[in-house]
Amino acid sequence: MIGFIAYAFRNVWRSRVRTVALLTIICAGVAVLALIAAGYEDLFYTVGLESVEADGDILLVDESKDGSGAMTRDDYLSVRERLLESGLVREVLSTSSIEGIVGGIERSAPCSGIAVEGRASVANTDAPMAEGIVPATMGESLAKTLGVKKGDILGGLVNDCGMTLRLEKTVRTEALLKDRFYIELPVEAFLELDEKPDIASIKIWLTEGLSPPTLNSESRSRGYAEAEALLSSIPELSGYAVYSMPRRNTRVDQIVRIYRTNYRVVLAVVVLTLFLAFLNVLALSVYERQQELGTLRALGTPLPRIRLLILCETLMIAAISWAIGVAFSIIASAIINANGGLVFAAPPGETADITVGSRLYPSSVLGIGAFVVLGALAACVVSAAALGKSSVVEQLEVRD
Amino acid sequence: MNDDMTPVLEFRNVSRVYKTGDCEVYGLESVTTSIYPGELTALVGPSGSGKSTMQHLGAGFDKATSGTVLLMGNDIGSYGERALSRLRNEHIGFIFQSFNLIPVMTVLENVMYPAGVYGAPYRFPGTPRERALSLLEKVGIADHANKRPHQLSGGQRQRVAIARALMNAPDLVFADEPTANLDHTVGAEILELLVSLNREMNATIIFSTHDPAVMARARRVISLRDGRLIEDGR
Repeated sequence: MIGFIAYAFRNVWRSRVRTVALLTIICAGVAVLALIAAGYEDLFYTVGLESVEADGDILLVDESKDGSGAMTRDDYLSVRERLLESGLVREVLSTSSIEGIVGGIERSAPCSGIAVEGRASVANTDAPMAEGIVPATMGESLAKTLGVKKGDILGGLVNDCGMTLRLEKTVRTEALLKDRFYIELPVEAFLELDEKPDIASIKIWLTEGLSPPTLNSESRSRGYAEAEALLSSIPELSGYAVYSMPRRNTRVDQIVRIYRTNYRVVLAVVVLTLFLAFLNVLALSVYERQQELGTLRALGTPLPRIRLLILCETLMIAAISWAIGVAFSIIASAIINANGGLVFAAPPGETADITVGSRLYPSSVLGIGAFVVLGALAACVVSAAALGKSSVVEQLEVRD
Repeated sequence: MNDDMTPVLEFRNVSRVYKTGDCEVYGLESVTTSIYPGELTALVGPSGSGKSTMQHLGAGFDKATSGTVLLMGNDIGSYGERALSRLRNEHIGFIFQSFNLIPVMTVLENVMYPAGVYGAPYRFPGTPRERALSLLEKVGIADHANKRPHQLSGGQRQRVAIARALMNAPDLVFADEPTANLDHTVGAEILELLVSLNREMNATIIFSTHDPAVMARARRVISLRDGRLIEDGR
């Protein structure tokens, strides 16, 4: 006896051209949604989150420019201890920075900041030399500071065109550096060598910190009010501007919201298009098969079972096209990642530009599948509802 | 015919009116008749005389505007859609003029289909497949069991339709102009098959025709004209 599923499957392929056309439309819709979601999440979720994680929950920045806000080593250690003992703070990390026009590792370039060569501090050629500090050009200084030689591997934060991007991977130093650079160095690495370290920023991670935004949820902040009150009560930090993540995150949330809205509009348009495509094909399919459906009823098949058959056929098309669409998205995603994607200029020491790739998320893929099924179900309900309006005789189209 | 028998099908003053705009057209008008078990009955009359309407009402495809249609003594006019579906599946076999086979199913699957609508338990000895093959054997088309309908000739398709109509051993088999789409020779073969099934299986068969040669094979002829029963000859 032919199984219900087998019968539905054969019906799906009855009109191959139409089925393939419908599959193609749905596949394209699924792929568009999946790829948009992948780009969206990579831009405003993955990179954003990791950037937030790298910067801490609260970022204190010395904005005095002349370094007047800079603390002494003892002040810094005292502040650090106080923060950690408060119970509000989990970790404190201060950074210094090197910034300038980037040259090659073999060439000199102007820069500012402080670096470390071996166990001795090194300043650039423009800065006054402290005792025991060996003058170095930027390229040499940078290499020595980081304790690297040509071909070695390093990592860090690179500022490029006003954006700070945390390097996901280590970079190699044989690269020609071709842009303005900004490298953060952990102050703790050379604190014992410098009484008045140039602390450009202090990153503070809270015990109860930030819950960053996701595709479907806003960010949440915990413990910030108490921590900010504590920071404002510490006089040594008066020269530092406070960038609290909830405040910074508000901006991120706004951007995320705009893109989320755009995504949902695209989602709605795609789902509507899929619904109309399904509706059109199903209506045509049911219309063309009126006599056959009438025959099924004449043979005693109850209407709900015939509706179930149409539903089964619809879901098969939805499932097949969703699977193909997802497969296509995976391939497209791989091609994007292999050939481009969102490109950031090569950071210092890097030979190649950094590409933020497209990444498909199971939650997005499943969500899109759910919307495809929803569109298909809606179209199926409309088409199947029309069945009950005709009598068996009308469907058979035979009247003496 | 035995008047003491319970009729398989009974029409009591049955009318079926079709509304076309403001006009009312009688498909069937005040028809009263009974069909008894084992009868081979021909419904005859010109096109539009009400042959198909009478079969559709008897098979539960349609409902009478007035009057009562009794199948095995039960008023099927009071049945809902679900009950009518079950009745059509278990008690009625229908052979269509244009065969109406399901194109995506094989011959065997087409014949087996009625047995699978309500699933197990199957109420006949053996499996549905065995019964279907035996019916295909009986109608002389067992060799084509695994073919699709489009691979068969018209006569072969009608044989499949006959086997399908008999699958659930219905109390009543309707055949709506079963030979109309066939050439004379093949039509005669199909008619002979129906006659033999009536004789061998004691199947109650009602077929419609306007072919005098076909109606001559029936043991009972009901003549219709303009929806009225004008003659009932045994």
